Amino acid sequence: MSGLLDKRLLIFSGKGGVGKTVVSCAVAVAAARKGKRVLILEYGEDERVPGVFGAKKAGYEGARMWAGERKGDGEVWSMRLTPRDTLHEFVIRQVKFERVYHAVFENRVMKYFTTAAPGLNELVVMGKIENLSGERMKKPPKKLLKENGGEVPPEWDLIVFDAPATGHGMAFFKVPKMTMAMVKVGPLHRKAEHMWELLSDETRTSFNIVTLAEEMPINETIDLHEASKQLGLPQGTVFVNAVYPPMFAEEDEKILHQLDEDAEPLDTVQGVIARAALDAALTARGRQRLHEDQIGRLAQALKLPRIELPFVFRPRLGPEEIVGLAKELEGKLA
Amino acid sequence: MTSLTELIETKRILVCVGSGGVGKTTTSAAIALRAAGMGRKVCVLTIDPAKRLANSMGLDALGNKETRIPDDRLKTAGIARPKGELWAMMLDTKRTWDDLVDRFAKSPEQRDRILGNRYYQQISGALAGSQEFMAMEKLYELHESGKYDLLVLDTPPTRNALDFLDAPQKMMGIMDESVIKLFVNPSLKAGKLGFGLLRTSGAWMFKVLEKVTGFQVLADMGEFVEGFSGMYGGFSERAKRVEALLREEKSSFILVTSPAPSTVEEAIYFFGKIQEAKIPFGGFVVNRIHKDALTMSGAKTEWKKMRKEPALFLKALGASKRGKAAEALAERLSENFQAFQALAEMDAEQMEHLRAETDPKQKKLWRTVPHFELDVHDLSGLARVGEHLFADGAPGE
Repeated sequence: MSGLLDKRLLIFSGKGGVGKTVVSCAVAVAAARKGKRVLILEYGEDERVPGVFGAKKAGYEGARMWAGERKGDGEVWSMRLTPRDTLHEFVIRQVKFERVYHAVFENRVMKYFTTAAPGLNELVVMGKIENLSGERMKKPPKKLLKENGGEVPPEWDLIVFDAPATGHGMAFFKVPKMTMAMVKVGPLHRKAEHMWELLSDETRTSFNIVTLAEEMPINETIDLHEASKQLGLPQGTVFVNAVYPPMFAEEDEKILHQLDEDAEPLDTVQGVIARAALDAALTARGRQRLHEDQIGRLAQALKLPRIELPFVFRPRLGPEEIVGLAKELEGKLA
Repeated sequence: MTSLTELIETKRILVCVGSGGVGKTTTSAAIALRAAGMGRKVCVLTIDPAKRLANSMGLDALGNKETRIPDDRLKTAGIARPKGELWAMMLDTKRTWDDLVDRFAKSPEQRDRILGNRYYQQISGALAGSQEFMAMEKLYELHESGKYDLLVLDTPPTRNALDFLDAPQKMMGIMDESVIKLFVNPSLKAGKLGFGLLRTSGAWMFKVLEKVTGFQVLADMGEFVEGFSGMYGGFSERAKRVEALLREEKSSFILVTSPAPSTVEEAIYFFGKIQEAKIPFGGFVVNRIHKDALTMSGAKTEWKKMRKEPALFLKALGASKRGKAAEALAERLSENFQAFQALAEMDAEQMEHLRAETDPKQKKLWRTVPHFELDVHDLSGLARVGEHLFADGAPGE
C-alpha cells in the first residue's frame, strides 16, 4: 500500500477540540515539503486554517497559506466550504440562472426546506470535494506535461479535508450511499456514484482519525473507527496529538519526592519556586503516564498505524510550529 | 449572582453551553453532584458522555430515561450521607422525537404513518439541530413533570454555538403553516406536479429543487407534513413554551470554555449571542487553566535569576544533598517548570482577553478549574472539579 502522502484525498476526523485543524495543516505542510500542491478544505462558517498560517481569510475562492523556501517545495492552499456557497455553485451549474437561484434558494419558505432537506448540504459539499479532486491544471507548464506523458496533471496533488467533529462527520460520508439509494437513476445518481468511488478507493483516499491520549477522545476514536469501517471508508492512520514528551522517567519520581523534603522552606521565595518546579514535574510525569496508558489502550483496541505528535508548549500555534510538526511527521509518514 | 452555590439554590434549570472539548459534560456532572450533596433532587441530562464517566454514574445504557445514581456510589465522591438525590440521563434524540410524535398524534394510525415516513426517519435521526431541539424538549418534559428541584443540561457540542439557540425556531420553521400549505396538496403527495399547480407560486420552485437535487423526498415530505396536520398546533405551542421557559428567571445559562485561543474566541461570540437573545446568564466556567505558581512577591524576579544561575536553583532544591543524579534532574526540572509558567502566562492572557471582551466591569460570576494531571472520569474526579467550581469568594481567582 502506498504511503499517506501519495494519496489524493486525506480526511481528518475526530472529537471536537483534539486538534484536527493543526494536524491537517501539519500533514499538508509535510506533503508540500515533498513538492506537492496541497489544498486544505474546511467546512462551516468559521475559518481556522488561515489563523494557523497567519494568512488572511481564504473564503470560498481559496488562498495560498504556505510556500516552501527550498527548491522543489510545493505549496499549501486553503478553502472554506460553506453549505451556502457550495449550494449556490451547485445550483448555478444545473440551472444556469442566478435569478432562479435567488428565487428558489433565497426564498424564505424554501430556505426552511433546504435547511431541513436531509443531507443536502453534505451532498453538495461532497460533490464539491469530488470536483476539486478531479480538477486539472489550467495552464500546465510544458515540463510537467512532458513528465506526465502528455496528460494534464491535476490541479491539486493532495486534498486534505478537515472534516467536522465526530457526530456530524459521519453524516458527510454516508451521504453518497444514501443518495444512491434514494435516487436510482440520472445525473445525481452518477454524481453520487463518483463520490463514493473516490471515498471508498483505498489507493486515492484515506480516512484518518485525530485524537488526544485521553479517555473521552480515545473512546470516540474507537467508535469512529468502527462506524467508518462499517461504512467502507479506507482506514488510514490514527494521529495522537499533544502527547506529553517523556521529560521524566519512573526512576526520577523517587528523587523528585526526596527533593521535596530537602528544598528550602515554603515561607521563602526560593522554597516556593522549588516546590512549584517539583509540582510541575510531577504533573508532567502524571500526564505522561496517563498518555502512555491511553495510547496502550488505543493500541490494543485498534490495529491501525499510529503517529504521535508531541505536545507543543505554545498557546497559539503559528507557521513556525506547524513546520516543526511537519518535520516531526516526515520521518513517521513513510 | 456571586456563586454557583447560589445558582444551585435559587434556579430550577442550569444549561451548560460552549464549544466541543471544553469540559461541558464534566462541568454539568460536577454541578449536579454538588447539588445532590446540598440536598437537592437533581437530574443531569447529558449527551454521550465518556463511557467511564457514564459507568461510574451507573449509566450503562442509552435509555433515554432518568437513572438514579445509588447513594453508595456517591460515597466514593466523599458524600457520605447525601441529603438530595442524583439522577442522570443520556439523551437519545430519535427516541425523544418518537415520544413527541406519540404524545401529539391524534390516533395510532397517524403516529404509525409518521414514524414510518422516510423523511421523518431522516430528520429525527440525523438532521443537525435535531439533537439540540430534542435536548430542549426533554428538558421541558422533565421540568413539567415537577419531579426534580434542579435540572442540569449538558448541551450537545456544536462548532457553531449559535445552532443551539436557533434550534427550536429552525425546527419549527419546517412545520411553519406556509410550508404546510405548499405541501398539503394531493398532486405533490403523488410526487408529480399537476398542471394546475405549475401556475401557483410554490410549485415551480419545488420543480427546480427536484431537478437540482433529484431527491424524491418531496413526496415523502409532503406525506410527512400532511401526517403532522392537526399536530402542528401542539408542537408549535410546545416549542414556544420551551423557549419561554429558558428565558424565565428560574433558568440560567453557564458558559463553559477553556483558555485555548480558538475556544476563547468562540466563547466571546457565544456570549454576544446570549446577550442578544436576552437569555438569563449565570456565569463563566473556564476549565483547564494552568495557574501561575509564582504569585508570591519577588518570586518572578528570583526565578529569572535562577534561570541565569542554575546553582541558585540547585540550592533552592537542596539538590546538593542528593548527589549527581539530582543535579542532572534539576536541569530538566527547570526546563519543564519554565514551560509550565509559559503556559500559565498564556492562559492568563487569554483569560484577560475573554474578560475584557465580555465582562470588562467584572460583574459576572467567574470560576476557573485547573488543568489536572489526570483525566476526570469518575465521581471522585467530579468532586475535585466541584471543589474549584464552588470555591466561593472573589469573582474568579
